[in-house]
Amino acid sequence: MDWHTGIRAAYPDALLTIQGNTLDDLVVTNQETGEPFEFDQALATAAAVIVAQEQALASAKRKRASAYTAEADPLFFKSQRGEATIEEWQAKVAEIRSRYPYPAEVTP
Amino acid sequence: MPITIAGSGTITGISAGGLPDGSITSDDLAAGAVTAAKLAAGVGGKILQVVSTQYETPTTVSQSANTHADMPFSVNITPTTSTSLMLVSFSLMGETGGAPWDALAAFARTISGTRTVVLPSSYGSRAPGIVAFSDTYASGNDNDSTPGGFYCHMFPDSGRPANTNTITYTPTATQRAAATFALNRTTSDTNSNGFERGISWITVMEVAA
Repeated sequence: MDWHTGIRAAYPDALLTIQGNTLDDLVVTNQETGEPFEFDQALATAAAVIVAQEQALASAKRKRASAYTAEADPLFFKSQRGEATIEEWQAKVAEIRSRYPYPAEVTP
Repeated sequence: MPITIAGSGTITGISAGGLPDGSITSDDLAAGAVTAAKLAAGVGGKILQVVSTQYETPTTVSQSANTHADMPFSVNITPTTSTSLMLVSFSLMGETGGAPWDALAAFARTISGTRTVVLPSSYGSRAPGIVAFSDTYASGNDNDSTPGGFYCHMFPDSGRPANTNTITYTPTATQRAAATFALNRTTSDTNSNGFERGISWITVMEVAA
């Protein structure tokens, strides 16, 4: 996990400089005091998981929107002109949703 | 012209070039006796010293709105003379974590604990800095995998105080809205080839006036 993301999500109001990658080399400094900033690892980990879920949801929404525009919308308009069926359009929408699923914890 | 050796310790009457070639060695000169004014144009060089810091650690830095935040690396330089010019160069690789079109960089000059960010002398309510962010793909907010950089080349720090006190130069960066600047990494820093890492640095050269 990215500790930078987790710590910043857990302490959104803190002005921090975070250096390093892992718990072994991580240096977190309070910019206002210049002193080391003590953070709760469990809190940061939980926050990172939430951020990751939010990012996954946002990514899936972006990909679905793009695919709807490129693949499903033409079928819908074709169905309106009698050149395709509503069922074909609905099947394409379902296929796109299956291709880019939302995170398990999120209701579509 | 006769050569005269006076009892006062002086010798007169030696014509220019009158000493045998090679008879004067560097040991015959007092330390520091050769000044810049005694050098012909283009001889001897003007770069008095060069100091540099290279910084590789992937880092994120909080930025309050409209406030220049220090990057976590700097260089110290003690001027050789009070009149020499400092040429400040730095490069910051990273991602703005917000709107790249609002991002600016400058540097802080700290002397004896007093920090001064070098900015335009007049900017009203505008956002001040020295250089703007150069983005690799400026199509939207810059908060995931799109790095860019601040590049400042040989900025003449002509406003430094005319003394020989040690100066600490630190790159700074700001944005209009509060944000987190990702330094030497992208914002999300995913371990994949769509997410970049880099190296930042600052170099200061002291040039004789």
